[in-house]
Amino acid sequence: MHSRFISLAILTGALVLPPTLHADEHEGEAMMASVEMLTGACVACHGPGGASVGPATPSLAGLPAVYFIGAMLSYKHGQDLDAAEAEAASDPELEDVEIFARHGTIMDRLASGYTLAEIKTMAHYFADKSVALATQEFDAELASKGEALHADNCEKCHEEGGRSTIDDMVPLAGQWKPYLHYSMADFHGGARGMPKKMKSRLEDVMETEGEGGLAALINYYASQQ
Amino acid sequence: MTTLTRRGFLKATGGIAAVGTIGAGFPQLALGGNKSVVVIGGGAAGAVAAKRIKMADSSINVTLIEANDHHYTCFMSNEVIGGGRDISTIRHGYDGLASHGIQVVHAKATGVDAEARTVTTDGGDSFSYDRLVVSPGIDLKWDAIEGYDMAAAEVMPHAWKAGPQTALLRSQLEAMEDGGTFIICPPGNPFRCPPGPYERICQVAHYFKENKPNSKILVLDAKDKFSKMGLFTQGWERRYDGMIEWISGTDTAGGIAEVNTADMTVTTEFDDTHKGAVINVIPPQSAGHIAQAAGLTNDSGWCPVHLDTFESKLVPGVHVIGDASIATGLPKSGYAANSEAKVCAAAVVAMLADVEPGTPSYVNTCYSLIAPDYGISVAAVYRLAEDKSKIAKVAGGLTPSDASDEMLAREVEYAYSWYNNIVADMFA
Repeated sequence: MHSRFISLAILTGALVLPPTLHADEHEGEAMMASVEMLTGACVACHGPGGASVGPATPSLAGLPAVYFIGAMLSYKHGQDLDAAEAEAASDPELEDVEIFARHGTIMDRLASGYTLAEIKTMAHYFADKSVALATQEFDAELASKGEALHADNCEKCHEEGGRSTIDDMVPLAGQWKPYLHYSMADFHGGARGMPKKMKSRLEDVMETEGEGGLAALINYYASQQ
Repeated sequence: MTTLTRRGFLKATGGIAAVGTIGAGFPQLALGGNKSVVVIGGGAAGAVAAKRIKMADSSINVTLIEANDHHYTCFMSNEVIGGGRDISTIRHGYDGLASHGIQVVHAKATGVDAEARTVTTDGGDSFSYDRLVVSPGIDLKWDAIEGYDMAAAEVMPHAWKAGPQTALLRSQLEAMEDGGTFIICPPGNPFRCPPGPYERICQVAHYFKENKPNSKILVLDAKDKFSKMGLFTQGWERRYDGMIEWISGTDTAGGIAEVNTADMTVTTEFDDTHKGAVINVIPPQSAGHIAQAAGLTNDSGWCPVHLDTFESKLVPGVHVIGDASIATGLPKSGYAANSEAKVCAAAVVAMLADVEPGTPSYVNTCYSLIAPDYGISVAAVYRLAEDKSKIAKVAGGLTPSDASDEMLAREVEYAYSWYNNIVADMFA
């Protein structure tokens, strides 16, 4: 689309581009801020290009758009998961978006400030980036134990040791340890929802390994740098 | 305004490789004649504006004029005062900005000629600009409190510009004997970092609790209400019960009127005199000096701006961002300064290309640390009101008052992440 307008500009000599080019794409909406403007709001906490420099705020770089949008809609609608699902269903492009409960600190206060179109714009910006692998400390012994636990319980969906984003799977490898810890605590405690398959696997790990199993998995993901 | 000659047009069409994205995501052709932007002040707003302008269009010559070789962030400086953080961790240099192709000049901007479009420095140099961004931070009003001048600030530090003043207040607290009284005097609105004085109270209280448990904190406020008030007072009761006495603006009759550095006393407008072992006077403030010298301030001492571009309402071609601006609706916070810088940078790049600036979007996130395992925050998203009269909040809120200990502890880790990432956004 950009290149088409460049050609148009060259053909007509119209170097001053009309500011309403995108208006037809967002009927009835006020003109949307640019992708740089929108993602500028994210990166001062989530890091340049969505690669967080830590120690806890998760990196957004490389997150599949479907995952990002699902998370934002869940934050946006708070405890009202039906409303989040209805908003996702309003857009035929979003049929793969899954909504699960989330327990935010500040994201559940911020997300309702953005329209679905804006959230999609942000999502695609970060999805186009490479997955960021954080440089952080980890326990090698736990990581080694975690590698085995991952292979037995998680690898089937979170492929390539949790690095893969195939089939819109969220990458776990290289994410910040405290964030992984909060996420696992929320999954286990029920504050955060998850697919049935994952729930059953997580319960298995907790039953056989206890909290130590989670620590092992977290250290394994953190060890991939 | 760019006058497009045929020759210029050919140059432009030949330069398709030099395409940047501007404003609302539209392509823009780089023209032959390079534009120049000067940014005065390399703090929370200025550093980000310089970087964003350069990254949006590398053909623009961007010069950052900053008096100091290093910047000490005000954010997290309260943790230095409380002893939880070394001052070296809030000190940042400008090599990262220079590596983006920004010309960094360490000098003090002394004058702006808006007609000739030049900035002069104390080094005697002159810099031309097509657009100027002024991000001067604050000046302290030395005439506002009787006896409180620059010499008095060496005895009763303000520590409201991070750096040597931060270190001075820290060293005074360290030297103080157990059982002493620390007096802090927050100013009336508006001022830099509205929750700052109250986070500072927490940080000092934590230091006292651990090291000097018989000490007291007396707060002589100019106001009856303050930022995150419910959350702060809840935190004081939970963690520092009996240590902090807060005197409201009603009971001080509007703050302190006079200081006496020889006696180590402060006297309120109500004529009550209090003696302290360590005294932190945070005086009323205005836009930084260069903004006043350049005619960018109104009677309030701050700079009125168009809220979609941050261009001055008083001096065309000059933008004002950060604490110095009157960004109606946004607080004078570090994150708001960052957000203003991004809105301003996009507008500057668009205006230099004669393109209508895109739709702005604003955000603020501000953490305060009550204890090493206890953080609180306020966060909000804003849009420009339709009549452009204010930056209106469309979502946001505070940490819930019934947040669990676990969530309050997470906020601390997120506060540290906020710090590291915003610093990377500024200087990396």
